[in-house]
Amino acid sequence: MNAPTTPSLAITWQQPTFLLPLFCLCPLLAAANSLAMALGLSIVLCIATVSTMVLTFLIRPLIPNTLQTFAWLMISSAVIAILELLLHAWNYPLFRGLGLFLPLCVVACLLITRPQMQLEQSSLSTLAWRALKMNGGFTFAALILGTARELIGHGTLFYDAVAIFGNSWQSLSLTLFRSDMGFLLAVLAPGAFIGFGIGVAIYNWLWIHLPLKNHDNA
Amino acid sequence: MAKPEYPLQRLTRYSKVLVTVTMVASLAIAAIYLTWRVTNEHIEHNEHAWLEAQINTLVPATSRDNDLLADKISVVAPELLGTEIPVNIYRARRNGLPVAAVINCIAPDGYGGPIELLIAISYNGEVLGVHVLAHHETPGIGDAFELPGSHWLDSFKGRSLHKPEARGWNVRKDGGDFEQFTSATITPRAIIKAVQRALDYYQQHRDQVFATS
Repeated sequence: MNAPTTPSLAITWQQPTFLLPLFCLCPLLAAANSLAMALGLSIVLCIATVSTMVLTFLIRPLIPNTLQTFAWLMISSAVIAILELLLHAWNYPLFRGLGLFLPLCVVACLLITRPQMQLEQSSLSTLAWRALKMNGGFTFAALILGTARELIGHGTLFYDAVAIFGNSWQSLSLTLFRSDMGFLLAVLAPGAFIGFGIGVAIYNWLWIHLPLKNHDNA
Repeated sequence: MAKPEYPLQRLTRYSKVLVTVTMVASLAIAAIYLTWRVTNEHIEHNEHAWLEAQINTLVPATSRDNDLLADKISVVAPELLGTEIPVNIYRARRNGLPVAAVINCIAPDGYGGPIELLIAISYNGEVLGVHVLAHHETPGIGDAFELPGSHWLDSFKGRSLHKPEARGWNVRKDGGDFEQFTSATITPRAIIKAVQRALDYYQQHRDQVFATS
């Protein structure tokens, strides 16, 4: 968070608390077994983090310093609870798909909005922009993972997009090869971890081999 | 070091904290409550529509003229319907005459826990169709009854308590009449047995099932 040019995934791994990023992974790994689901999850998370940031920022002057963290926790969990209700009402397929992992998004939301707690003075737009950038990192990871797993496991892309996003997505739904069982491993939980591991490996390789300016910040 | 604090100062500091906590918490609760008020109807409607869509795949809407979801009874029969919790039975009627019953029962002995089923039985005791509503089986095993184009559950269509006879209500491996699927026997066995028990229940209680209270 001190080096704005550091890619977002790296920020995640620099956090002193180890458990938080792991919880953040939970919805990402579990729900991103298809491209449409990964996109849905990312959108939900993006709305959650940006509104948490904005609300926390607005309420900040009214709250004594010792209670800032409390207010922040309350706001983000309320935001997730509200989003869950809204999805249940207006996007039932996505709600069913995300299931248990929707409430778990609150941890991801806390993780992404955490840097704000450490910035004393900052404008609303900077904060929102930061939140968007971090979301970009999450979305990017979710989409890569979702694409790989759906492609390998089902041989399709966006096969459930029509149910989640409506009929206009029909044309995007691709079947690349027909598989009766698919390569199951990719859709299952182990596939998520293997895919994630490969992703981190590629990321680290790039990190070492590409000449990045902020290399010593890593 | 800070100046010593007088009791009154401490009290105001505490009450400030208390007031803030209460305010923030009640604002959050109010926001969630308001959202619930707004979305409540939609949510119920969604759940309703979803269940109705599932039932319609078993008992076509054209074969009945009653509001099936409203025309239901709840029964408790742990032995035959697999759960201590009251089980919903939806009744399909046409011109007031019974057409079919849809039993929302449980197969308690699935590999990963209970399997929630919808079993549609025609008035004369034939299975119209079986649908899996919820399960915790190993992912992939469920494909046999979840994926579009999977036909395993169709093998129940047209069956009844004596077609096959009691011995036949099992997977082929155990000398029964039903195929198992892709290396799984526990899951299909659980479903087959649950359907058989539901038919048994239906046979014993048909008049009660269709009775208008």
